[in-house]
Amino acid sequence: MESPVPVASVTTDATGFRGWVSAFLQRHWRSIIVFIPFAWLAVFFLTPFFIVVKISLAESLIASPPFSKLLEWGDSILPSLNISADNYAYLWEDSLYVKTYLNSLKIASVSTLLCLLIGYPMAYGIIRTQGTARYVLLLLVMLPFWTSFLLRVYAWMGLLADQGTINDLLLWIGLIDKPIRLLYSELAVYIGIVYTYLPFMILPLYANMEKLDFSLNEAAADLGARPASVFTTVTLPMTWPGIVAGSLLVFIPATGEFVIPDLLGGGNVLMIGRVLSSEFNANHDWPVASAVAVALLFVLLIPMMLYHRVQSREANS
Amino acid sequence: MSAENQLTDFTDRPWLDPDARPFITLQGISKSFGSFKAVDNIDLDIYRGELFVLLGGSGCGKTTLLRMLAGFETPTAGTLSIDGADMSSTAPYERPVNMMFQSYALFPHMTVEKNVAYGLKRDGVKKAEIKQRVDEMLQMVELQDFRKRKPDQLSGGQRQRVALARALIKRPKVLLLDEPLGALDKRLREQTQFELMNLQDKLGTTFIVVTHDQEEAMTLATRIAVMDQGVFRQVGTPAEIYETPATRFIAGFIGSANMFDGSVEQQRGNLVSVRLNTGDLVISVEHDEPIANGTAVTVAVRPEKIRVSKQQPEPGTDNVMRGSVKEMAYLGRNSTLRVAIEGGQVLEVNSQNRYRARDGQHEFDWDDQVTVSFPPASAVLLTA
Ligand SMILES: Nc1ncnc2c1ncn2[C@@H]1O[C@H](COP(=O)(O)OP(=O)(O)O)[C@@H](O)[C@H]1O
Ligand SMILES: [Mg+2]
Repeated sequence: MESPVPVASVTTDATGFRGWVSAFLQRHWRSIIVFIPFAWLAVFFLTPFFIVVKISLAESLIASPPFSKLLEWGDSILPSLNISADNYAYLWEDSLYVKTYLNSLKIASVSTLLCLLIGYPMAYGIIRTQGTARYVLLLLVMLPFWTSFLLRVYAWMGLLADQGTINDLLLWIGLIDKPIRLLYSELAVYIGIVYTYLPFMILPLYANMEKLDFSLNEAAADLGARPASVFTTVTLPMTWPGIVAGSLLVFIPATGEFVIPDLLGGGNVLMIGRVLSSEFNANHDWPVASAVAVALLFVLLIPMMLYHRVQSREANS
Repeated sequence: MSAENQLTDFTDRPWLDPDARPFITLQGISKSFGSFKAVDNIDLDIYRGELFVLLGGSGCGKTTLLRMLAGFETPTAGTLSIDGADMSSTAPYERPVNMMFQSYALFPHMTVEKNVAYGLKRDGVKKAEIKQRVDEMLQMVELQDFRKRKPDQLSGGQRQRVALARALIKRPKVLLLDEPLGALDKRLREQTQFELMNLQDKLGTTFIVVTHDQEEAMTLATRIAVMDQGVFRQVGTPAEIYETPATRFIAGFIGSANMFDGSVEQQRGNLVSVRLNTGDLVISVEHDEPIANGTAVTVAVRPEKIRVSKQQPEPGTDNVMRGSVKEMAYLGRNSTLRVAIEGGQVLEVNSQNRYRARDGQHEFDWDDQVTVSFPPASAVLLTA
């Protein structure tokens, strides 16, 4: 009887290189799939990030590029290392930066909370509709993305200005007798951020709620839970991942937001994005601007890591 | 047992007692979805401690009826009361009933223990008492070792027991079970059927069980309601439904039955002669109510009530037909034969395998010439 083994090796030989490639793919496809996002992160996130960190450790110069080199090749064999944490110390010592960070965090937190309070019932409402209505509503949530973000912020300027639509309307109704200050205030920044980032809250919540099993609500009611209790013991825990995802998607970009505080807040609202931009563009101080950016990253990273710690501890208990 | 005692002892059969007060009463209950009537004008009394089974095919309205009892659907017409209290304006969380859902609906984010404790917590029961009752309940369903697991770490049978424990822990007056054993495999299902009966017996809770499995219904029920297209076709004990089906539909739905269509030739006492439509055969059946000659009727006979033999029957035997074996299925304890009789009708007949089959030689085999017969008392006369 012929053994099947030689037949198998003949097949491999016949396909040659292609056979080798397919065997390689079959053996290593898991590693390959994992490698792709890693490579992406390495090229488009880690590399730029290390460049920014590098600049933040340098000194500002009036030159091109406008910062000192970290490694200086002098007379000796080993290069001398010029690292300075002065830029970070400067951020810490100048109360303006600390205040700006805190104000950014405050505005981002309050905006996130507002987005959640508005977005959660909206997402829930969309889930509770059936058929076409659901997709129309979902489309309406995403509709603003069809126009340019900048254009929409300019539109808000037109609405909020002293001679803008809202003031005109209030005057015409007779609620006020002279225009009130809406534009260039913290209120305007809140309106802008909540308006812009609301879809980023609704969409993850929708995706999460779409999987809700409403027979669980009935089971809870059957066991004696009143509607409020059903919400806190079933719906809220089941939608928690959606709440976290939506909140991060709003909170993180809102903290570093530049366009909205610049256009709607004017000079009256301190936010870190504006400070970063003026260090970079007006002062040409790249190292301080880089330090501002790196510090911002850590300011955002710490609460996320704390949250993750709490989560994993809860999962283990 | 004395005759007097027999007349007054209704403890196991409260539905026969004219003085008994029903525990659950449905009056003219209907439920429409748009123009579709899922449940159509149902009247029903269920008594305390019954294990009442709603039996019917998929989509006949069983779940809808159960959901109206639990309060998740509002009847479009009719009233229902539980333990004397009208339920029409009582919210689900205030009803003295608990439900075991067809999908179990266990809370995936809670452990077994928390799932079971849920109902007591909502009622504000003290921590120590909750712990004690959860322990008791987990012991009863034999899940003590799984208390810290989440539902997705359990097998189908274990999930079923968590759902049961969770529904029972509040000691409801009525437990509603929607296809409680539907997701289990056959062996586990049969075992669990008996556990469920023991539990019900021990607790004395009124159970209303929905199933589409007629064997399960026969095993569990004190009484069965056979449901079809939103209405009850017959309500009765398993034996009543099996032995005296009210209609052709019931006779065919519960177990199998051989049906002979014909018309009444004459009635003498409680014996009715029926001439079959297929030929010259005349069948005699016991029937107590008077019936007019010429009425179109159906005679139904269960396969196990038909005698099959290779010998000529003794003279004087009733309802004898000659035929030949067309098919035979050997099932070990018995065999199911299909016998074609004169006129062409094929009968299903059960035959006990009283002799050991040797060398593949069975008592009956394909194309054997046989006679079949059944006494008039073994058949039922159906007019609907
Ligand atoms: N919410 C609903 N909306 C519309 N039709 C429904 C709804 N619930 C049930 N039905 C219909 O009512 C009928 C009975 O359903 P159900 O009570 O679930 O049947 P069963 O439990 O006996 O299989 C089915 O035809 C089903 O499609
Ligand atoms: Mg059902």
